Amino acid sequence: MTNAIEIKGLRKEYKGFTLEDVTFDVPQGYIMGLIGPNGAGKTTIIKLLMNLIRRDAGEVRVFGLDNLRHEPEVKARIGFVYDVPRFHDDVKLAVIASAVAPFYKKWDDALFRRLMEEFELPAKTTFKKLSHGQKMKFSLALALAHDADLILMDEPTAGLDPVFRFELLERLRAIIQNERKTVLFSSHITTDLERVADHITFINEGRIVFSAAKDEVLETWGVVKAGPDVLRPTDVPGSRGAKRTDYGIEILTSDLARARAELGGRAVYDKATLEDIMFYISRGNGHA
Amino acid sequence: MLKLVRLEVLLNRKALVTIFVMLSAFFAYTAYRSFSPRQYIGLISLVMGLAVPVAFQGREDRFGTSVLLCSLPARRSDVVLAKYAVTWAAIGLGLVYALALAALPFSKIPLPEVINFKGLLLLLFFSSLFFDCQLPLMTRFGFKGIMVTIIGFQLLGVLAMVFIQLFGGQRNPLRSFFLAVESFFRFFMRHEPTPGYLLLLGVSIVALNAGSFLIARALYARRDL
Repeated sequence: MTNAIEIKGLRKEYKGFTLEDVTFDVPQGYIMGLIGPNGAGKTTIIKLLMNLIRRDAGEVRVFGLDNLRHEPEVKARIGFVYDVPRFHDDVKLAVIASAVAPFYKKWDDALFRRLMEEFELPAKTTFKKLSHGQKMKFSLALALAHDADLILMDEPTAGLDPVFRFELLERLRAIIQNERKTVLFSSHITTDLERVADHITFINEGRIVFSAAKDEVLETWGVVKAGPDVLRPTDVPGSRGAKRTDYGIEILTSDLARARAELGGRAVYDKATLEDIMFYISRGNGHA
Repeated sequence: MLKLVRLEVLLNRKALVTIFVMLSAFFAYTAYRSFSPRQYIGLISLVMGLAVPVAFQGREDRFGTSVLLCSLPARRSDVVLAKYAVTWAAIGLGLVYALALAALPFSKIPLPEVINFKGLLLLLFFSSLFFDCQLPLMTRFGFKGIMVTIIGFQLLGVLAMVFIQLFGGQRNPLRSFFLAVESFFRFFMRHEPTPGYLLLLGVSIVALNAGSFLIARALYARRDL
């Protein structure tokens, strides 16, 4: 399996926050979801990929090319959709498109016009007259019109109504029907990722917790529930976080099968959702 | 780089038209009233060279579109080069516009006095002194960088006046500095247009811009967006 993105030992330090030793790959032809609570470092990773911020250490390769040394070549293959699309407010959409188009050799004007029609975006409207959802659609139309091999999206579904969120996710699924295309999108809305992502990279407090195939994660991770004083988090193999409730304790494990085999009837077992994983690790006294 | 300049112009064309409309009356009035051709040309080029990047950078900061610029398939150094190109194009445009106005019947500017090689080189040299301070700060800090340069130059003027008021002409501790600045300007302004002098001016303009660009490029590479 070839990788669209390879990230090794990436580091970025801010005052009060450090993205530390981030390493993961995004396989080509799949949708990778970058998940984590607010402030975990998702946007920082995407900005580092786009060279919008300077890395302190590490390496980023996109389609085998270093993203700094081959910046124009790399960016020519990326369709970037920012969490809040930013264009000059008082400029018409058609003018924005005509300003951006010459940067891309593979820009397809007919495709762009088709996407504008499909998204019901009037080309003669100024950017400020669009709703948040329409701005996101316009940004997506620009990203798709140059036949990008990698679609990079930072929190694309945040603030969107459920109908457009569904539409957008369906669109992402359609993109990767072409095996050359890859999507990396960050979100804290776990249901969106469960719906479309093939792979998940979970980040918390600037560190990667895991990066794996979604089905594997949903298959192996689980929540072990037991009455009060029956179990401690350290009793559970692969324990990654715990929460005490009025009725006992709930412990997140990354190895549900082993926990079930070792603890037997002392507890009840549920498969973990991505929301469970995010909650227990970030809020539930998470420990590795 | 040309694509970036084109993008800047397309996305800011309304602002560009507004600047021209707003400043036309002022420029025409200056052509009618002006007593010094050199001041007239210098003023218009300076105003245009300042107004265009201020407007463009102000809009870039306001709409947060630096992210758009840096997400396009271009190097950051190209973005910086485009900002320099836009500024110098604005100065050039101001110059052409000034000459066009000077040719109109109401103008009191004697065109032959304006159009001479030394005068044009001097204009570029003094513009470089100002803009090559401003542009690195603008690329690093955006609109704030422009304000810092303008206020910085104004503060220098105020400081000079305060020192003169406090210490008088002779006992002023900055006297030697003022004299050095004065003789620097006098040297360039009053020198005969010999080939060596014109070459020195040309080389100085290129060196100032190259040095400023390298600083701006290094600063912009460190800017987190």
